[in-house]
Order: sequence, then C-alpha cells, then structure tokens
Amino acid sequence: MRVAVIGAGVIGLSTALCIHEQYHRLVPSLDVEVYADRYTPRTTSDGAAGLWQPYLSDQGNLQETLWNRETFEYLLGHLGSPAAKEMGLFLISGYNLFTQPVPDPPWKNIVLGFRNLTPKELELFPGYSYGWFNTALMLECRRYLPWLSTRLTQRGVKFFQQKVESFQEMFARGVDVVINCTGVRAGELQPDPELQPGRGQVIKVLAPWVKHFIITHDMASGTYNSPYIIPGSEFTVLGGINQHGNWSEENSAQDHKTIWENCCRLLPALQGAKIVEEWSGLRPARPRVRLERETLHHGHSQAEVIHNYGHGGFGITAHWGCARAAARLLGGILQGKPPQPRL
Amino acid sequence: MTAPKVAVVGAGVIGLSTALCITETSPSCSVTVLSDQFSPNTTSDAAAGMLIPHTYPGTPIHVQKQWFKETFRYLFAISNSAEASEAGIHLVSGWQIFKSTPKEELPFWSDVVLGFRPMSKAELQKFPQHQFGQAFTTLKCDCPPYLLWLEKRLKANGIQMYTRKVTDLWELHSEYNIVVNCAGIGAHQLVEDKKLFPIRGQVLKVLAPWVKNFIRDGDGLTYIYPGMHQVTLGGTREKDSWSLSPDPGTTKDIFDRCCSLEPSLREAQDIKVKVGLRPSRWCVRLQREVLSQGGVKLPIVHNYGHGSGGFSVHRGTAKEAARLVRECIASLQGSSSRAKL
Repeated sequence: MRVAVIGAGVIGLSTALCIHEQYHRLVPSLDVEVYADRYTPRTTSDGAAGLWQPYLSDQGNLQETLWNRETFEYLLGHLGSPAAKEMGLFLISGYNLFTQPVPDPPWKNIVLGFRNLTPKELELFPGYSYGWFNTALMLECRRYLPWLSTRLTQRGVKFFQQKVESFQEMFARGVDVVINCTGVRAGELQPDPELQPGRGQVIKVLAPWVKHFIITHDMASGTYNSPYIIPGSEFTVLGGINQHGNWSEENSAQDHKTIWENCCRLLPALQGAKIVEEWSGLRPARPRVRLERETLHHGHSQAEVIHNYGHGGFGITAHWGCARAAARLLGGILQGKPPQPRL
Repeated sequence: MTAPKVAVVGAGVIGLSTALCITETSPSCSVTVLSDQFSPNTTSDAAAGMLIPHTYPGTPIHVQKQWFKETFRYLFAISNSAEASEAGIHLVSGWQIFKSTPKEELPFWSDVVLGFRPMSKAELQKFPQHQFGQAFTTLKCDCPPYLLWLEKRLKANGIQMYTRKVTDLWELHSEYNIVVNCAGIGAHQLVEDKKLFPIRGQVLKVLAPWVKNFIRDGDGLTYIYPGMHQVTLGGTREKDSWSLSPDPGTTKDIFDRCCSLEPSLREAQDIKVKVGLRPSRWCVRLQREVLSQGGVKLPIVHNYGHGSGGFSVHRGTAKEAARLVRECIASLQGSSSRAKL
C-alpha cells in the first residue's frame, strides 16, 4: 500500500507522521513517501510565528474547534518531555486587544487561564478598551518541521524533492492513496475557487525583553490585518498584514512601514529593536478547511485522494487534529469502506 | 549653603536610585556616589530583579505597600517607553505555586501587580506536586542593564562616581555635608549594625530563551525568572553565611529543583553561577542620624537592609531617603543661618 503525501509544511509532515504511527504495524506493506518542491525552511509554515491561536470565531465549524483542541492537548502533553525544546514547543502568555467588547472565543476553555484584562492592564495599550489574557503554546516550525522530518526518516519514510504536476502522475507511478497537503497551491492540482492566498508579511526583530504575545483586532479590517507581536525563542515576529487574493511573495515597502509603525506604537519598547529579517508568505485561506476523501478515476481503476488543505492562518493551531482526521479517512480506505456521499 | 555636598555610599540598586532621587528632588545638591563595587559586582547584579515583595516584619504593611506601589509605577512607565530595553525593564507573567495552600492567599501586594488571580485547575496540572497557585504579571529589572542605565542617568545629571572603600562614615565629614548610607550588606561593618545579617543566595544564570513565564515556589527557595538574555534559576536562603564562593553541590541542587518545575530547562546552555548576600534586617533602616565629634556634625541618612526585597521597593525607599536628605539640608541651612546671627 503506497501512500504519497504531497506537501512538506506542517500539515504534510504531521499527517505523514500520524499515518505512519497509526498504521505501519497494522499494514505491514505500508509505504509512506513525501513529495514536495519546498522543504523547511522554505515552506509557508516556516514563516509563521508559531502561536497556537484559532480565529475569534469558528463560524459554526465545530470540527475546527475540535481539531484545535486536539492539537493543543497533544502539544500540552509534550511540554514536559525532553523533546520539547527540539520541537520548538513552549508555553507563552499574552494579550488579545479590542476596541470594543466582544464575545468570548470558542477556544477560551482550551487555553490556560483565560480571563478579561483589568483596567490597569489596558492602560498599557492606549486605544484598546477591551481584551483577554491567556497562556497558550508556541510551536516554531523552523524547529518542528526538522523534528518531524527526523522522526519520519527514522521510520523509513522517504522524501522526494520535486514538484508534483498532477494526481494522475502519482497514480501512474503506482501510488494507491495521495494525501493532498499542498496548502495555498492546491489549486494547481485541482481547481478550487474557494482557496485564495491570504498574503502576510512579517518583520523579525531582536527584542528579547518581550515575553508576551500581543495580538490586536480590528473588526473592520479582518483577522491578522491589525498589528501583532509574537516573541519566539530567538526572534520576535511583528506582523499585521492579511491581503486576500494577493499572490505576491515579495516584501512590500509599504507593508513594512505599516507593520513597523503600528507595532512600535503598540509597544514603544520596540523602537530599540534590531531588524533581522523580513518575510512574506501566503496563508492558504478557505471558508473551511478541505479535509475529505475523494475517489478519482485512473484508467479503469479508482484511486483515492485525501485532501487536507486550506488552513488559512491557523494551520499550526489545527495541524494535529487534522492529521488524525486524515489518518481516520485513510483507515476507512484501508478497511475498504466506500467513500461518504458528498453532501 | 548654596550647593550642599552629598555623598551616597553604595552603588547597588539602592545607592544609585537614591542618588538619582536626590538630584531629582534637590537639584541644587552636588551628589557623589562612592562605592568599593560597581556593576557587575554588586549584590544587585546577582539578583533577578523581580518585583515580588518580601515582607519586612518590622515595617508597617501600609508603608511597604506604598514603597512597592511607587516602585511598580515608576518601572511600569519605563517598561512602556522607548528606554525599556536599555534599562532592562520588562513585564513578565507567571505563577507562584504552593505545595499546600498558604495561610494568606491574598498577599498585600496582590492589587499592585497586574491580573492577580488564583490558578485554575488546568494550570495547576503542570505542577503535580503543588496544590495551590497564583497567576499574575509583574515587572523584572535586569542587571547589569538597569544599574548601567541608572549610572548613565546620574552622569547626565552631573553626578560623579568613584571607586572608593569607605571604612567609616566619619571619614567623609570634611569633604561632604551629608552622607547617605546605602551600603547594603556592607553596613554590617561600616556602621557596625549587628541587626543586619546576610542571607546567602546562590543562583544560576542560564540560556533558555524559550522560557517566557516565571515560576516561583511560594517557599521562596525555588524559582525560575526569565530575563532579557538569561533565565535566573534559584536558589538558596542561607542565614548568616558570608561566603561569596559558588558551591558546586548547591548548583546541582538548584538545577535539579528548577528542572522538576520546568523540565525543558534540562536543555539550558551556558550555565553561570552567581552568589549574593541579601542584606537582611527586621526592617529597612530608613532614618536620619547625626554623627558628631568635637563640635562638628555630620548628618547621615541610612537606607539599607532591604534583604530580598531591594528591587521591589527601591524607588519607594529612594524617594523617602531623598525626602530625609531634604530635611537634613533644611536643618543645615537653619543652623547655618542661625550661626550667622
């Protein structure tokens, strides 16, 4: 049974690991391979700060909240393990800021110590009149992806550096199941008008005195289009750009100015920070994550694709729950279950 | 007396902040700092600089609270300004955990720090040996940066600083009009204060930049305080020990205790050891005294004995010391004008 995972970002690698962990003993002939044109540190995941935090609302997609919870609890369980540092995993506390009161998010009981901000705390952030404090997790992909890769290599999973042009190409080689974790470029394998880039730009600075994440929200401009500051283990990430439909991966001087000015206004202490790097990436934005099985016809036979893409700005947040869900779908295929009817 | 000459003895956080307050409130003074040690070799440099007050049994609680509030407000403003990184002041959140629920669940300073509340059950799961905890956000003053920043402010105000070991306050009477004694543990010898005793603290300073939250055991013996560049791991409280030499057995013990609270610290790098002698006293000695010999008087303002709470109350006690210096100046001016009659 040959399973090919296309995509080596956080979704692709974690799905490959989850599948191998679950099935390699049950299916002795299981052969998992990873195909991607970009590997760490050049994936979209590598540019993300790595903060576990879903969007403010799951828009009724309870599935997503469950995937997020599953991911958080999985990571929390690894915090005390010797692998945590190598994984790039650690606890972090911080602030979400608003200009008006908002309902509590669906993830308030997933994170630790969720509470409203006190008036004294809000004094730190002029212009914001409401907010939350909580402790969450950081999972830095510049460490997590290499860690996943090492685990996969230890398990005998093979990696191929190449751009896959079609699902058919995989089936022609004898792959039985393709796991499609191609993120923002999934449309190149199968058109998907619902998938759009959510272009982001970030500035990485040296600001080791910053110990909290600070995420501002502007209900008018939309998620991640308002300044945010996220301290990592080496750098602090400044961001606040989310341009729907913009495919450019080039850094924009205008966006740089927006990010820098807004973040320095939010945290005056940043003015002393040294800029180390600037990066642009494309969030694979979709109204909901595409996580489903599809049967394709290949000549006279059928072949299976499991789609796992469209995680927008919360890929890290949802990754493990989604990997497990993808693994369950593979389980269905292995058991010879017919695909679920499309609703 | 046009420009009273004030000597501040001691260049730790107390000496430097007191000198700064004096120039702020009495700009006509000429202030000089004298110390045998400057940063990075003061007791303050070994401290983590966390704003979590120590309770002095001999000082009224409302006074301690006022000192803490004053200090917190002052540092809060700096942490929120462009100078924050140079001054080494930053906010940090975390947990104080207890193996058994303490008698006093709400310390006197709970409404001065930010967001103080009991820990949730989910948060306590991270600490299986502990039954109760408090979560809050407070400030940290990293040293040497904070002391160097104070020194810079002092120099900008025209203050001179000299390395000099003062063995007796009286030796300063011919050069200075007022002496402010911020000698910390040095006061044991300098003014022969037998009520002052060291509580030795050994700490580790390590590289573990992924540690973003503080963890403190309510017994005060084990703590993890993340600073700008290093995390301070502590510690010990050895009463009456005068040894400034690091003890390797203690190093291992501190490391093990901290790793049991935060296992990821096993991966910490570049472990350095520091020792400081907390200048401990029943109460902070913050009072005037007049030394006199052969008709010559030397007004003294004492500001020492802050024990483990130096950083937490430094600005508050510095302001009070500066006020006492003003009183001394007024007395001197009163007596000099009387002398003229």
